[in-house]
Amino acid sequence: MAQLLRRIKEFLGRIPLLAYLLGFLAATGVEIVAGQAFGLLIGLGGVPAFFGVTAALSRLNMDGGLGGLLLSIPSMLLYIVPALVYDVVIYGLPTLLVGRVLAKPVRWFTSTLPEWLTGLVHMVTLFLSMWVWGGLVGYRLLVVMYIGVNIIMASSLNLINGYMGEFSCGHAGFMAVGAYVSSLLTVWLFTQDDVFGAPVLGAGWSIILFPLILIVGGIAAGIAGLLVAFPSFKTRGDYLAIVTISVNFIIKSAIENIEKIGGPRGFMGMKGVLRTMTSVINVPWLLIWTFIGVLITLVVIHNFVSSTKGKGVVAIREDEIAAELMSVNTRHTKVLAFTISSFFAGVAGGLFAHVLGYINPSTFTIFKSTEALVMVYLGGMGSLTGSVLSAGIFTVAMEALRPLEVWKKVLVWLMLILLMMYRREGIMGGKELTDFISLERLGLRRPAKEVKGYAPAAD
Amino acid sequence: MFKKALPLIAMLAVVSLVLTACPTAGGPSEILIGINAPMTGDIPKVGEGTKYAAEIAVDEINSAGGLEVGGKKYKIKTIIEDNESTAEGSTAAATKLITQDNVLIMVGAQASKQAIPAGQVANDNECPMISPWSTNPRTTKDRPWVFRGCFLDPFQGPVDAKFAMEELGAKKAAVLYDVASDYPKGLAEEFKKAFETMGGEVVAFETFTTKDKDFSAQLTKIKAAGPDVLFVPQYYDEVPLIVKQARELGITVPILGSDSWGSAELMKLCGDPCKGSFFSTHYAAAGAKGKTKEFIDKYKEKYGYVPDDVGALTYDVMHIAFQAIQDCGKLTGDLKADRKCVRDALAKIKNFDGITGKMTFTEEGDPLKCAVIVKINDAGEFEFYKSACPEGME
Repeated sequence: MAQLLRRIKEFLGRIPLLAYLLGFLAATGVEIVAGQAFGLLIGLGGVPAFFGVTAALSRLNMDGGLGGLLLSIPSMLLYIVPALVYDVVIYGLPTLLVGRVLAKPVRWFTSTLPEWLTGLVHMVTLFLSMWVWGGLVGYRLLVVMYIGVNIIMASSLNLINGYMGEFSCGHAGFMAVGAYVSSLLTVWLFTQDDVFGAPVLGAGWSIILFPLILIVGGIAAGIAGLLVAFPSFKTRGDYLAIVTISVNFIIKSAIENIEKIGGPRGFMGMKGVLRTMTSVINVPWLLIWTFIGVLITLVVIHNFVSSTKGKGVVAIREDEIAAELMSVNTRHTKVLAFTISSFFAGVAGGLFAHVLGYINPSTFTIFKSTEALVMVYLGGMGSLTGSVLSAGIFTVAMEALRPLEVWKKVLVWLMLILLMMYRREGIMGGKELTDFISLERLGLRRPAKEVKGYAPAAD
Repeated sequence: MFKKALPLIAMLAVVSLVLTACPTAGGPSEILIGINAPMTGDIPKVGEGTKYAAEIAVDEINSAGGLEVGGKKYKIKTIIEDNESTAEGSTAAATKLITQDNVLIMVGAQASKQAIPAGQVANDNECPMISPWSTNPRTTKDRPWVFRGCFLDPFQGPVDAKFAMEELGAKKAAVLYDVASDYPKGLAEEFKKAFETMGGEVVAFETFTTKDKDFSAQLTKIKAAGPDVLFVPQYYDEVPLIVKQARELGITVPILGSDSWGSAELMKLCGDPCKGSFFSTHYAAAGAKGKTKEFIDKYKEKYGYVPDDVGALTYDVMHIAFQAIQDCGKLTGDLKADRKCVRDALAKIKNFDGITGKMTFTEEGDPLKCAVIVKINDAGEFEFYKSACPEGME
């Protein structure tokens, strides 16, 4: 048994990341061709949305009390078996097969190309598989974009709550600023709207300006963050938490009272913007920008915390006074980190607004902030890998557990309590993926070359 | 390695080809209806009412052997998705129902905050949707695929204003509403506009914010202004607090409310102070006759309480959906074509005789229907007082 496990591990370990990604892409191809028919054949009634998890849980009967619930468990199990068969046949086998076949060519490919190009190829493959997999069912695509937005939210909040060790609870407020600023701009510039009238610019501009407007939304949120950071970073701990909560409330109430942008009635028209964009070039623009947004967020935050300035952020978490003595300008560092964090929350807000097509001040309440907090602590403070993982897990769990109705909340918070009791450091516990598997092993970096004929100089 | 894998890949390719060639089972044997409802969140009672009313409507059809469309009987199956009473939850629920569960038609979402984004999803994916309860004009505006089962705020506001002026003889009105909530704010403004055009005067226009519990400051101001009527377009959980505090402060004038009052919970929370108040709504449960009474009796027997307006509207909307599917004449199994056919049939529905009144859809997908003014009688029941109809209807 142990030997079998070891052999499986060895087999899986030999396949580089890119081969897995290509394998998954091939699997999505198999699903497009055969998924529907195969799903019907084995009694799933079509393509399952999330590997059959959602559909299996919806077999549970939540109305009939405990008896009804227990009685419905067999029907859930009866669904799980074909769902597993589906996952193995449609996803598992093609991924492994194609991965194994391509392992060697991919190794050769990654060892000859420059590293930046290898990275790019990985990203493009990942994007394509998201696109193809999500494109099959509209619901998947939506959840994939929710995950993207949540990754940006979680990793940017991680900068404050994880790396810097402060406690900010108003992330949704900055998200709201970004959401409103970018939506107002795109709707004003590119669509016919009741509030703003005819589009100001031609349709072609929308493609070029959309990412810039997302950045403008981010900058607006960053400025809001800066305004908050100046007075509030004289306080720490609980007091900062209270300040940020109230900022969340202030921003929400402010938007509610601005009649021009809809007030409590909310603001819409962002789907029109997306229609304008696809009318020029028909590709899933929002998925593209969510994907790029996630990448940029992760790269910027990772590089920031690895920089000299960023090391100061971690130093503040460990001991603020010692950091000050070691020449870290703590005030400046805190304000900078807070502004960067708010900036990305604003970008996430802009993407979120365009994914939903409708924003309402009551979307950006303290509950939205809490969700971001949960994702940070679930994934682990000070770990970007953790934030990515937990954003994925949390978003999918919230969707998959929907059939459980009220019990969903119980289950989610129970999981959190258990996590705090038994693994307080979160899933990743301050570690990154690269602490477990090296980049060389993943095929993302070329193995260090042995230089022939090199001998250390003798002196 | 490649040589070893080749036969496997070939096999896989053959299997997938065979599977694709397999004919899918000929035509659907059941009709899927998606229900997008707030089962959790702020207004779970609304979700519950939706679910129960839909169950009753579906039972009626299924116990009779199913819905007959083009000479074939189809069983109705509902899929209920919880939208958590949020905009993003509603978007996700609608997207799931339409793109994953492949429902023929979607019923819900209920409150406008959820129905506006859900309508967007339905319209973008070209799936017919009917919201039973959303009164915001934007839910159906410029959306050919979206319909609703109730009247709109711009209709209800003037109805209330007219009632206050003509029946209650009010010259001066006061309004107290939640400035942070979409529905009360819209209605308060519509009421003010209508009341002032009719020559009345709004002497106090006071606001508060969602989840406020103490209204004494606003009510004191209102009392000082000396109105003849107090208009409170709030939800059933806030009304009891406001009415009790108003009565305690010595405001004795009649209190007038809107359709959001009409929940089964209201009298449980409010008790005596609410008796004698009026509100405009979609139907009156006490003293109902005919089909309406049948529905109320069935609901009461099965779930133990008198259904509120959400239940009644959902029941009507379910039957409108059934009728549209029937009018469509034939289900081909091609979802896109069937959805189009149902939408076109919906748009053509004339004088649908529902338990909340007769309905005819306008081009925007909104029904022309009458409002009912209900008086809360001394037994705490919602008693029919008067009905108010749009022009052109009896």
